[in-house]
Amino acid sequence: MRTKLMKQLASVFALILAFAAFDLAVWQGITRRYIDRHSDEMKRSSVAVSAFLPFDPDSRIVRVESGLTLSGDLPVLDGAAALYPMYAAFAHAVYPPDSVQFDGKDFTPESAVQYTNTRGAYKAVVDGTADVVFCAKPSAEQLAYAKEQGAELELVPIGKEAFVFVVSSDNPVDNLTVEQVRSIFSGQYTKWSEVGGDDTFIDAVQRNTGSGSQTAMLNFMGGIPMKRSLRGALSGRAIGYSFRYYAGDMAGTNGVKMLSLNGVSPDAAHIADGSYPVSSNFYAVYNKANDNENIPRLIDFILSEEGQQIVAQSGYVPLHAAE
Amino acid sequence: MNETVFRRILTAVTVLGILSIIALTVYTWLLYRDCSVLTYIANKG
Repeated sequence: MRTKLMKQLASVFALILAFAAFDLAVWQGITRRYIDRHSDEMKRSSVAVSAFLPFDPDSRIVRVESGLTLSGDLPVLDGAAALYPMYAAFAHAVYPPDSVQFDGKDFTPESAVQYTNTRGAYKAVVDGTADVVFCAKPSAEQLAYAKEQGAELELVPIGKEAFVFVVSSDNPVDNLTVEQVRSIFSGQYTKWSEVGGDDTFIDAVQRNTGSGSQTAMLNFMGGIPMKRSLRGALSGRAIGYSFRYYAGDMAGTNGVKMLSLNGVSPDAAHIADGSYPVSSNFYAVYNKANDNENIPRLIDFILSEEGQQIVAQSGYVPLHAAE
Repeated sequence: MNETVFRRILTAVTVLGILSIIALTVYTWLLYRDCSVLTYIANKG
């Protein structure tokens, strides 16, 4: 009788233990990877929009003295997350204060400043719901959509930014060559030990199609197909990519570090002098058929000394910094 | 322990175990939807 009871209790205990072990394994292996360390504001949006509102006295945007104030038909501005603080500062510099309306969570439809990120912005400038958008180069799909809609886009370079590769800050690797990065994302290298790191698999994380960083990455790969290994995704250390300012100051994520490429760190001086190997222009983009007279005025301001001061003070590299 | 009671305990533990797995899966999915790439990389080590 006593033996039977012991067996029954052991069965119950083993069942509880099996479920607990399974849940713990899922937690350790999967769930905890996605726990966001950001504040609630950052969780709602990839950028804390309200922290960079034009005309808000508490805003963190850059303020410069501008002799220009646009009036009449104000171009609606939109753009990439990584460039939002900069174009919000352009609006602050040359738009009248009542042109921007924010309801506490989003810009209202009447607002001259909008934020729908790269994919939304390119669609908006083609569809005519935005007049000038601030983004990296468009993807092949975005160009195809513009062509399909009969829109010809004008891309005006307004500044430079580094494309960076990020790993966890406790990853011992600090530097990779361009070829090593390509070999990692093409699936040729599968372990960190092949590039001077520890004996763990590599999880080469990709972004969603049409995002500015995914388009930049496809350009970086130069047609080499990208692969993500299942072993890496399950148990590896991760590597990803972004733009320098977003990955650094803007997202404010603790626990990641940017890698040097070919021994050169992605800082402003190295982007300006061209020694960091993967820096590229970002653009003010508008539809050539858009005859809003304020568009050329706004572009002239952005390329002026004051406009480029906003680019620099917002954390990016001005167009002619190295000259 | 009575056989019927034993079976009921096993059933209860199994149901609670399955519920815990469902809850964890839903929680993981909600986290996954909101998680940024940078956070994922930081958490992954």
